[in-house]
Amino acid sequence: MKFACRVNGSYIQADVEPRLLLSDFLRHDLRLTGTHVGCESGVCGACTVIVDGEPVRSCLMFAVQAAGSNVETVESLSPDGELSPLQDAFHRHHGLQCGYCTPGMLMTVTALHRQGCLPTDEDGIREALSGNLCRCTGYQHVVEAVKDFAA
Amino acid sequence: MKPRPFDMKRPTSLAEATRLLAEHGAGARLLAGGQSLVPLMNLRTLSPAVLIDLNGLAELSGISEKSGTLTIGAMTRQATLLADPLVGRHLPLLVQAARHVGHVQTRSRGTIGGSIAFGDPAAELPVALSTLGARLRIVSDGGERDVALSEFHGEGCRLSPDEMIASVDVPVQEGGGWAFRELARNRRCLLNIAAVRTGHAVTVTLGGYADRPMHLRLDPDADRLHQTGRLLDGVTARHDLHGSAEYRRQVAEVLLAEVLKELDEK
Repeated sequence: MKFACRVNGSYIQADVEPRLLLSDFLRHDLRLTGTHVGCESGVCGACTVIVDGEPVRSCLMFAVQAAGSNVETVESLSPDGELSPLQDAFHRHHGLQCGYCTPGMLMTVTALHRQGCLPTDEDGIREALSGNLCRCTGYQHVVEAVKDFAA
Repeated sequence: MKPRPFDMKRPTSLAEATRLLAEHGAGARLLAGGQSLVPLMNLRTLSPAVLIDLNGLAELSGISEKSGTLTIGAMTRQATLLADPLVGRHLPLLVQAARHVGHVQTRSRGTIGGSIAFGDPAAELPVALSTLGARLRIVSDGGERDVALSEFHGEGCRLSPDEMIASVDVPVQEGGGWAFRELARNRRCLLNIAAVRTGHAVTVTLGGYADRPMHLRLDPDADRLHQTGRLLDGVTARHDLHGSAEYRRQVAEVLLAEVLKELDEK
């Protein structure tokens, strides 16, 4: 099935099987391996990307459904290799350990920040990130990083 | 963890979608937000031969108000319900229930029609909507019917293979008081309760208790907790890895008491 979309600003045309997940299209076809795949059943949030301004789980969308859309992955946050302010806050607060869940958290926070609905209080931040599971840090440093970024 | 191959249809009108549904019948599934269907396809619990993607149907999205009723298109996203000023003004119970649905990333895609059609007995939106007296407009190729959501739940949430939900009509909430409670572990809902009061009458819907939401109308002249206890006695609670039947019964009684107390205070 043929489709075209924009990924991190580049126009992409592709011909793929309908069953190809957006997460696999990004990782395998476009080699954008910053988007991580944890559970492939919509639970962990590691594969979160931004589609037309909204944070979505890329393992729960078929690639062909991105036709005509604007997709943004974690690679778009630092096009020149410099950390973005959000990435820098995660770095300063040690908001990651193994880093597997980090791209999903960064893209969720980025989307909410742009929409003007990123909470600034701890409870609100924990609620906003409730769909992103981390198996190492216990979230405390993640919350501190987001709080610092949101302030 | 990858779906089996399927044929994808991407209709651009409701008429085309219902024609495709009539043609492919039980072998086809409708793809709305995909937040429940796609996990099941990834796990190969479900492997439809044909997927009919409704995301190109602009006519199924949107919210409008006419003479005291809000009409919500079936493909309206859960995130839209939370942000929409009409819903915020007229259906505060629905907004409260929508806050409990999934996470920010699933509410971006998940739809009101999908929540109803999927038929999870603990899904928040159908529980709130049936308490509010919502009606469904169900369409098929050449057919259309209108059914109260509480009756739809009574039928066991059944759509024929050629039918789909087009929109939901919800009467605006009057100032009679409402409450919503849920018990969930990390968003995996065990039980939820929605209640509204109109004059002295109280309507309650209990989700997650039986295999479909239970709709209770309480007699204003009798003891309400006694009535709900008797209603629960008549139904066997579900039991699964999230909770035993006994635990569900106990939680239901606690949540019911809390909700009725809150209604009295409002």
